[in-house]
Amino acid sequence: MVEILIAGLALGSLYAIVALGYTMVYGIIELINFAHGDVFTFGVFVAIPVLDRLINQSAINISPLQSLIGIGVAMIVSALLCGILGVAIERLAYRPLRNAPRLAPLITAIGVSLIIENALFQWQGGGLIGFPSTLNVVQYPFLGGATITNVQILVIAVAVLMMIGLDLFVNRTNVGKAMRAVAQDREAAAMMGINVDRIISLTFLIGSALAGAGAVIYGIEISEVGYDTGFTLGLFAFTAAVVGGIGNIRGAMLGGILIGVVISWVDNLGSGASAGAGTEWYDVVVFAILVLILVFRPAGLLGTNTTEKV
Amino acid sequence: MVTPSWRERIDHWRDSRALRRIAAVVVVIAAFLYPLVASSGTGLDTATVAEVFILLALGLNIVVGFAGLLDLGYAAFFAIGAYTTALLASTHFAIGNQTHTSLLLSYGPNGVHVNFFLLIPIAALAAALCGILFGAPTLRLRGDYLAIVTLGFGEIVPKVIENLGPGNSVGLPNITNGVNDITGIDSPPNINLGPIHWTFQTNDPRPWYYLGLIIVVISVIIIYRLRSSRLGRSWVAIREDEIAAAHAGINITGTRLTAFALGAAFSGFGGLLEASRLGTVDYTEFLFNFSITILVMVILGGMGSIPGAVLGGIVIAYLNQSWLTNAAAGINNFGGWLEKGPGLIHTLGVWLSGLPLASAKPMIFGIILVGIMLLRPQGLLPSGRRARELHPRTAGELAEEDSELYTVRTGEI
Amino acid sequence: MTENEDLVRVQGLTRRFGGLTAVDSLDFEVRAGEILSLIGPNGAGKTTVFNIISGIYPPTSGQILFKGENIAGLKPDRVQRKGISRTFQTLRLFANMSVLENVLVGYHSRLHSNLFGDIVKPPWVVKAEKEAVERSREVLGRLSPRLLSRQEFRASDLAYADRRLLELARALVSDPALLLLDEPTAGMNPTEAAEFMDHIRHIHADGFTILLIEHNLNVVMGVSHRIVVLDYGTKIAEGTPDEVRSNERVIEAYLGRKAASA
Repeated sequence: MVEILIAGLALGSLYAIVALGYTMVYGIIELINFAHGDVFTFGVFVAIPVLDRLINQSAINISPLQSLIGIGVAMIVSALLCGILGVAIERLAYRPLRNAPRLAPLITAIGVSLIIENALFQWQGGGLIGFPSTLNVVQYPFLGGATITNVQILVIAVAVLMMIGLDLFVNRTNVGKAMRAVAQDREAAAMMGINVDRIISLTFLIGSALAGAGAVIYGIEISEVGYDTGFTLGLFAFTAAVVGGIGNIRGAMLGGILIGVVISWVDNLGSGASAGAGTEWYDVVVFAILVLILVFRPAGLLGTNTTEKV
Repeated sequence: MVTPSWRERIDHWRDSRALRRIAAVVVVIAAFLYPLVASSGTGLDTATVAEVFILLALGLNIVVGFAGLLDLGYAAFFAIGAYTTALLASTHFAIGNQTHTSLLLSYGPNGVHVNFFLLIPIAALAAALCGILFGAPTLRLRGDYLAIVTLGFGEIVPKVIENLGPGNSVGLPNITNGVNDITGIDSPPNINLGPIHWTFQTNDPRPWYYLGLIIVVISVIIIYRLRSSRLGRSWVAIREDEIAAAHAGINITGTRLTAFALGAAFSGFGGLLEASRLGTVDYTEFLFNFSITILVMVILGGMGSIPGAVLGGIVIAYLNQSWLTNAAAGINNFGGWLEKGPGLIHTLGVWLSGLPLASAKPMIFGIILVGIMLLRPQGLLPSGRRARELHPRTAGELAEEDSELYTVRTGEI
Repeated sequence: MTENEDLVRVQGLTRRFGGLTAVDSLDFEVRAGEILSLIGPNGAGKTTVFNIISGIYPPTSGQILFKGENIAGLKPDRVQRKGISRTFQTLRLFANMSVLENVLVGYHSRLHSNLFGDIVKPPWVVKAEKEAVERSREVLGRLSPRLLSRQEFRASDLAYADRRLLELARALVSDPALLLLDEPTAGMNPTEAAEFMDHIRHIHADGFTILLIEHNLNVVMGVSHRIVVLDYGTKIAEGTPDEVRSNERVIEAYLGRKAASA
């Protein structure tokens, strides 16, 4: 049970990192950025050659220093490239449609997602690709005879750090204040002298960069990736964002962890004749949760209800 | 009175009812004559696929175009239509050891066989019911949430079909035959009406083509009537301004639900036609990618436009079935030819000949979606309502009035 | 109906948003055939009252008796079907529909049809549709011949004052027992506002009962039979224009604050 919880926590941290990007973009321009999951996959793909070069793949033991440098550099490269991609997408595909009817940018986002996903397919093919080895996996004993690996600790720690950092940034800095202002009322913010375009670009930059950094962690934890990994992951992450309350950064963390734990729990259901029942049904369960939350508590666990102004 | 400019005349013709009717009649006659001139069976096969696509595009157009609800799991209703057909008209369900036969239904060890014409309402109803079951709790949501929920629904339906096969993990009997697909689906009964003798066989696409054409024509007529009805107006009103529509006495959830259910019903028709023509159903055909393919048809033709949906269905069918493969082969061959050249040309040739273009369909669809939204959001054949323009003189006059008002208003502040 | 019969009786109406009480145990009644105006400084809760009556949100407590039946908490479409139509402070038209179609939508609740009727179009449905179009054109023409001549125009292509009139036509076409007008002259210049008020007088002469929110005091005084004055969600005065004009609390709430802020 504790093991399922730990695995769920680690998995959920990954969802939470991706959920941040959805929640930030939705919070500021009310758009489900379907391409976000694919930006994430792009991040995993660009980390692979970096790690291949920085970490000796034939070594049986990888020195901690090498691991640290390798992972650190890969995260920076990946965050940077994903950030640029995210900003480019916003600039080219979403910005021209900012005042169009709501469906237009949403449909465009789906189109962008298809384009990136297929580009990744053309680049790396349709199969699953192994992620380079990055560190020596060590197991530590944990509560109740369960174990926790250093990878799981790393995943959770990175996710928590990102969350705290982002929370501080949005709530304590001037730029963060500008962001919240734009999210509240774009026109009023513009009249107060805030450069709305720049703030929106920045939102995409940060959200995508976090996904890029998270992508490296994903590779280390899950160790293989396909061109369409980000699609399903993105759906689950979006679900997490909705569960927590879309637009709410702490909510994304909470929702991510909840979804992670549920998946990890369902995944282990079923034995004997019904072996594998959990693995077969977990996406059905996740979407059922999504529908239930949207129907009964559309504002999410940490969100507040808003009514449209008449 | 100023003489109308050419542009005005063209606009007038385009809006002219009579002209549009004539155009529609010409298209229908041409479609009925097409098998006489179609050179080979493959051309007609593609045309038959196009008919199914048109049905799907027409149905999704009700949901997305008229009611403004983005449904990203529309293929699920197609799956429900197809699997309803597969379960009720194939050798799949063997019952008892004696065969009972009647005009509309027979069952026994050789499976359940419901008559094709009885299946038309059944498939449509099954899909519509699923639309209602699913839509009732979710249609109150905001548009973009609905998109993601429908996407989830589109993922769940094929998953359920996959997981309810033989020896499934939840202990149910074999319902859907899971990954093994359902085969041996009945063809429609032979039709002998006066000069018409249709035998539905795999080697002759003509009866299928005509059957599909008749269903498409009837569907188009139905949808035109719906659009100009009280219901059609309510759909558009809700799309334009939900709150104002509610205050005009329109029941928002109920009206949306009707759009959702009707859209699903047309998808159910499509599923029925497809399943009986192919004789087999395979749940992997109904995944997210196919939902998006249908969306591309609607967007390409123009949201809310009925001729647009027809055009979109045809274009995507041909793109899917032949143009794309041909283009890919052409480009790869061209690359092979360039490879013989020197230096850079050689490199370019190697790149072109190795391009996996046949697998680039999602990218092409993505480019269509983004391109249309950015450059021509009204689509290729926009509906009158979305394309309506004023003739220039009045527009200028009105702009003037408006700007006057604006100065007065700002002057007060 | 006689002049003094109460068409609407609002009793103890209260609406809280979080800690803010936007409307606080409000009582008033609208008599059949009158023009009653709801006035008050910004944020007094006027639009909130409209939104509660028309069903956008339910009251926290209190009753709205319409022809003796409590309609508090009903959804907007149900309220409209009972016979209450409204317009909005910020115009809400169906921008891409034609002028005529906008009015036809207003007639929605008067048409009865089902899927069968919409698809098969039997004679009685065709007849009802024709009547709907005639009735819509009649309402448009009565309000403004100019609007009628532009019936095929897209609503968003009309001039501002015409759009306001169109919204009024959409509310009128269903022949409501009560018409709620939320600052109909907002954004108009004085000439247009005066013209619009003439329209309102004509509508009243046709027998409509009107509940009006208006900012422009001159306009209100000229057209209303009675006035209810709100401040901070409570009623501070009620009476004929002359009574209200000389009421001390009204002057304090209205002019005092205005003078202070100027």
